[in-house]
Amino acid sequence: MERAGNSLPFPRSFLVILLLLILVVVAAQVFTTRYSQHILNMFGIYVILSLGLDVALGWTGLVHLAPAAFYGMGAYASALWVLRVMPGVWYGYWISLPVVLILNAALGYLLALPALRLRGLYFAIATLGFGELVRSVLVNWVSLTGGPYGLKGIPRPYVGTFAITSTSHFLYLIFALALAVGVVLFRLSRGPSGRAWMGIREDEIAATTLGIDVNRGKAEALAVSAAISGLAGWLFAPYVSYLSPSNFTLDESIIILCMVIIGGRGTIWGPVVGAALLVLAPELLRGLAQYRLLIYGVLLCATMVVRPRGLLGRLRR
Amino acid sequence: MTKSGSCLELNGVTKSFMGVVAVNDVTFQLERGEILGLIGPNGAGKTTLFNVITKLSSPDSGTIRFQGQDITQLRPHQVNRLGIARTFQNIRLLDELSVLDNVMTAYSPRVKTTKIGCILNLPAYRTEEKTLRERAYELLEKGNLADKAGIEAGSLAYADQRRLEIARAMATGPELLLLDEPTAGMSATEAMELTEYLADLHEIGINLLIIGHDMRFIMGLCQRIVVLNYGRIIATGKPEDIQGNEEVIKAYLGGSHHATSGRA
Repeated sequence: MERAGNSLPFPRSFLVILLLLILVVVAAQVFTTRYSQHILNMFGIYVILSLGLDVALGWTGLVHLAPAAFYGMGAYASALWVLRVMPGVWYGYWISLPVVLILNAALGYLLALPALRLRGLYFAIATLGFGELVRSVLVNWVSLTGGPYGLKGIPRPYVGTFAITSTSHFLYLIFALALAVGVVLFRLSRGPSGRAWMGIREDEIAATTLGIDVNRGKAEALAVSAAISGLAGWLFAPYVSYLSPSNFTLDESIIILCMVIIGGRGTIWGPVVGAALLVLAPELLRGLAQYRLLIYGVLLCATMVVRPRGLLGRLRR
Repeated sequence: MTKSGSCLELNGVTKSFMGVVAVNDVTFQLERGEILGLIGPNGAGKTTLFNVITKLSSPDSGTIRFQGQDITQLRPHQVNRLGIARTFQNIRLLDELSVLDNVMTAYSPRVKTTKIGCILNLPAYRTEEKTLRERAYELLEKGNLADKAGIEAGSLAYADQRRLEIARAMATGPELLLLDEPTAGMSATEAMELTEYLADLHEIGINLLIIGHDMRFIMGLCQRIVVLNYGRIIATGKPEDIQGNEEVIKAYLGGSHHATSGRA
């Protein structure tokens, strides 16, 4: 989309992407300790998660409270694929990517079918139930998921014979994909699908009289959101090499939700800022670890009062 | 073209809410090329009738035909895709979206390029978006809104909001446009401008069904008028016939009419 006043020979978005790429490379050189790179990597994963949730929550107005369930399904599907379906093959991990995306999109769509008969809070409760369902499957299907003990020894991914092992390798992988997700969502948000989803958020009745199939729009948004959450899981599994159901509880969903709301729902940059805040905050407030959720709560309330559309959201007129 | 030749045809349409009959056995036709007015006192069931035609609510009985096709069982978005668009009495804009995006949203179910084309920013997609944006600007210009394209729809002045709603409805490419009190809250000048705008739409072949309280506006614009009272049609005819109709005068000024049979 060229805008008036753009005298560059290419779309301005290329410039933004290039700058972000440079930023990632610079960050990888500046932050050299494993610890700081790990924080960066988790930031990258949460960027993907919060962007994914925002498609449902911020764009389409669906109060979706189970992003962690789709995150977990992506992580477990990726790990199980590498451990059980294609063990010992270097490209197994890469093949698991489309598997994870399609599986998650399909489950997102399936969740939408019954859940969309419900509205507002009732829909939120249905997603809560779905999150709990996924968690209890992860805990109880011991033969498949290892139950509460989790999945151990998830192998590091290979590209041919090159192993992606160090935190800095993952840093490039994670941020390349976070950037890709950002670009995809930016374009979707400016296109017909994004407009339809936002139309549904603004006024379902108006949207339906404009010819928009509201149920289908919501289901599509949930599918896209679920696929992106799955992508984060796909990255997370080999990165930490150990998965446990406790990674994917309601607490996790609430944290992702806070990132989106505090950063600014319905914007692309808002969730990124929210993720940065909520990944960094616990590190800076180490001594207060047991008050973490309390601090999130206060932060959330403060945002709602001071900037109801989030830090990057526009102020109410 | 079709058997009846009518654009819209209602046959014995009835709709009640918990025992209150809001629309009672309504039968009328809107002929091709017609501007039909729908008037009646508050609570006569006019808006309910619009909701039934656009399938936001389903009739209890009766049939609705559009261009000869039975649309009684369709869902609202399907009705729109066949060519019926509407505006709302209490204006339903996409408040947080820009004025331009309100119109662009109306194109979204009708675009040809897929999500993949959008994600990859393919030339076909960009061309289509550009064409649609130009068409949207044309519609905004007709509604005197082009200079406000970038601002949030919710912050528009009232009359501008009404015109934007019409522009947005037109973006769906309708053959029949239902307008629910389009002049409400407008000054006399603005109402005059709107009358001209609607007459232009009629010129290019759009059929219009208009609910109105502003009698000068309705009588001046419509070729035929249907009068509704307590959900029933009490008169149909040319504006001059309606003005002299005793039933109608009684309904508006309150005669000895049955005041207990319910309201929508």
